[in-house]
Amino acid sequence: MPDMQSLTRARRLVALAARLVPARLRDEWRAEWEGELAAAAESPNARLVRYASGSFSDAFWLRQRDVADLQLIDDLHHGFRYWRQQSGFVLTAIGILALSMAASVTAFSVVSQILLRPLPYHAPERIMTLWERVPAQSERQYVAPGNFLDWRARATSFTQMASAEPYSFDYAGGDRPIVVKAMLVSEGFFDIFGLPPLAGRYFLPEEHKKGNNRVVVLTERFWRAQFNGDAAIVGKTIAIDDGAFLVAGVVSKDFQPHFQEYVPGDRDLYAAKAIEDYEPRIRVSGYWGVAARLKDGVSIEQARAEMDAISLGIERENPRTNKGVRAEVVDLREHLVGDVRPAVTLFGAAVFAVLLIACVNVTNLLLARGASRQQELAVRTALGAHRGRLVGQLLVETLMLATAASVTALVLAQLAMRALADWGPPEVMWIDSLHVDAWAIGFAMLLAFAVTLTAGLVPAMRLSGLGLQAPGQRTMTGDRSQRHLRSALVIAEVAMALMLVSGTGLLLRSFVNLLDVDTGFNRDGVMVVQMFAWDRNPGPAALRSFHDRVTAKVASIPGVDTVGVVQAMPFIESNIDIQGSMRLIGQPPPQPGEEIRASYNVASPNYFAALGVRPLKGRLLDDRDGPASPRVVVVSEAFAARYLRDIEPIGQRLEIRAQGKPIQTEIVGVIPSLRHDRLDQPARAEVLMPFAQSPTGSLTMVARTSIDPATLIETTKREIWAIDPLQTFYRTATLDELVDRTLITRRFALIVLTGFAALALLLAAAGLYGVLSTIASQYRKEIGVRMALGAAWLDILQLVVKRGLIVSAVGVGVGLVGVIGGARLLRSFLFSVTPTDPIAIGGAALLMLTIAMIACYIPARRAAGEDPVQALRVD
Amino acid sequence: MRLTYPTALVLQALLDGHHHGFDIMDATGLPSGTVYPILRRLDAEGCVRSRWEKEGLARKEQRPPRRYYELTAGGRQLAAEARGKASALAHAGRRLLAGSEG
Repeated sequence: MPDMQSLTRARRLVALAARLVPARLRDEWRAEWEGELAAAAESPNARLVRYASGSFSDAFWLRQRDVADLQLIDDLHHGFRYWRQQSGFVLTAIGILALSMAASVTAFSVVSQILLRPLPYHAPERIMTLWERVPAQSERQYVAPGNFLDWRARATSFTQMASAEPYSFDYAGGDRPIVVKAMLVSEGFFDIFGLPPLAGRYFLPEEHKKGNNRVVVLTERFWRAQFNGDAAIVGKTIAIDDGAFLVAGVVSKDFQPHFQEYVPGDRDLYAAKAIEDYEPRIRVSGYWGVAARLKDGVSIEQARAEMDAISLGIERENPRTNKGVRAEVVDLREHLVGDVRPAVTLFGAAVFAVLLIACVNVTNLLLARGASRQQELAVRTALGAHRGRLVGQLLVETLMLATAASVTALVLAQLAMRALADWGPPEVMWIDSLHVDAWAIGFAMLLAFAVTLTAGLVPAMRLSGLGLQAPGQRTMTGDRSQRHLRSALVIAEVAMALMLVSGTGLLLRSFVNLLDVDTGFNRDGVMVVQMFAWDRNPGPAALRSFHDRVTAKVASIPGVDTVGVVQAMPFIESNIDIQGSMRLIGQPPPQPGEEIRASYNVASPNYFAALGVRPLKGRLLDDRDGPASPRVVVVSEAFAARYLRDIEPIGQRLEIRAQGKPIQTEIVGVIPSLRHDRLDQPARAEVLMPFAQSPTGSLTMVARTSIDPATLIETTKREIWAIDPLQTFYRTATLDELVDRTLITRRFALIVLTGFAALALLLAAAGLYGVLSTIASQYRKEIGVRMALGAAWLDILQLVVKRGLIVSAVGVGVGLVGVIGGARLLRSFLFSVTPTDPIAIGGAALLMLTIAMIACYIPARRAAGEDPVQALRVD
Repeated sequence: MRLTYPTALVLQALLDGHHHGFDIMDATGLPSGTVYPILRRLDAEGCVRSRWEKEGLARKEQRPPRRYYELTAGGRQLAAEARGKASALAHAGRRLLAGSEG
């Protein structure tokens, strides 16, 4: 006999199920189940709990039967029954909706989790970043130390202004010394953000004095990785460079001011900055990030006006360096995520278009299905269902589709966001933390309702209206107004698909143009190893010796052909553009504002060989140019074009102020311009001095290899450690990797938009195919008559194809108008292509029409191939 | 109404003199979640009628009263029809089996 416990449990189940039973039946229903349970408990081995679980099915049955009580259940029941019969249609509709809704949810999450992410600081809207706006540069620039110091001294709009200078140290706490990426921050930097330290404290004012500034604040990431997150490290010292630095505190990983970071959060520590004596004099080649906090009551416009006035004053005092240089005040959020906005706008538009196309397709599917349900609906009307009831039922069916699609979409969106985190552009803040959150789920539910209304309302209204027709009634060519409606929907689809395909075409053309950009060097088979050797090799002689030993050692590695060295390596992340002050000797002094502002670089003779660079004029730097030889330089083509227009470069004498001293040099050669930053930015006007004559500790070794350069990096490090076991490596890579890194964002944009365009094309083709199939089948009788009267196979084909092509051509026409209107969105993604590029847009239109032709041809051929006798027999 | 196999079984059990839910489950081997909705439907269609058993009987056995189901005339007719269909089905099945063997 079953124990009392399972009887109690069974009773509880029944009590729970009783809640589902309509109130007026509930008491009796429950009494019956109580009685049955008691009877069942008498018999041995009765499984009471399992028995009681059947009460749910019983209760559901009563509930769904109780139409007056709740109509929705009945509609759902209808919906499920309909689904079982139409699983092909249902899966198609859910698939179409799920894909486009997943794209929408992903786009929404990017906006809510990146663009609108709450900043973890105190009153973040009052935190500003300051930049230099320099004539002839399209982007805002980092700030030169001299300008920052003047701004800080003069501005009254801010409670605090501070700088952050990118820096690196060697940290010797591990097995091998490693490079730690740091920021030297000036007084008050952390106060601007108002984020409390995770442990310890930030810097004291006196720690920004020279000699007192051997103190650091660790980032949470570095603290956890190196010290296991042990708070005891605070107040102790750690070995940095050749000395001991006090650890003042730890800053949370939420703190990401994102200055000079190639990947957000790549900093290991912050160190206290003491202003050097020479820094107030540096007014070109800015490399400091500047942050400030607005005083209460001061608006950003007031601050901008004040900074403009201050910039003018500085320009008057320093006309040579500061001509046209202005301070730009940008709020922190704009600085952090402003770059992402055009991409989000573009993808938002693409996603919206795909979603609309999907809705249109589902509308079309519902209309097409509806035609075959006319009979069912007519019967229901005849049996007394009023129109509102039918509309409700049809909408509930669509809502069920949309809900199933939104659940699928959430799963797909989570996958898409993981993919974004792994393969998306890493310089986008917070991209690695994207996930489906409560907002995304809410948005997906909202989408389901919106889709239901967009895709479901028109078919529901129309079909319920049609229900009054007598069942079985047929016209020769079907319902004309419905055909018009469906054609209009296809026109909309084709137009939107054309816009997406054109946009993709423009991006593709930009990308191809970009890959065709002449970098001036051969990027294949080159290994790049960046080191800083100043501290361990003080003085020119020591640097020369280190250079000679290291290049000889690396050149002896099997697989390495040529080893050169350069100071500012093209495409490497920390390629600081040092602009020296220069003048041509024996030429008339330049007009104000036309002074030479060129990048100053140092290279060894083999640098050119390693990059495959040949001289355009004169010669390259070579072994003749030793420490004691006359001082020489080579200049880039861009330099010659800008400053030596009417002057023969070779033999021309150039005075360069480097490290404070003027040096007279002779130009011995002109080389092709090497791109330094990105393929879409112009080449630098560059002057290269021989390493032997201007030794530098900022060394990037460039080796041309006969085997895959990536495989040689570890060997190279080991060989260099054999010379100096404490040498660290700031960056090791292949040149190909470095160039490719700058293409990630564009490639990514291209891939995403291609995906959307392909989906749009497919959906539009499917929509066209569906409509033409219906038209063709509705025309069967007419076609039969025509064929019986002697129309040729080709005539029939033409008849159907023509209809399809008219619809597609109208769609393409509407789409072209949209393309011209929407080109604005694309402008910032284009390179050497106008937004109305005829090749891209014409190609897209041609592709669209071809696909449309194929989509028309299949139903047309089927119609034309039919036996006229069969066709005439239709109904 | 639609005559499913479980409905036919329930009708047969009623015809055989089982009158309570639990007994019908016992006789047909169908789970409670199937038997009760069938009984409700048969009730709604007028094929069975139900009443509560006599209070006194339940009190004597110290348990709650049970509901008692019995076939109506229409129900009996439906049961006969179900039996006919079942035997026709069985017949067809045998023929099919014989065909596949031959």
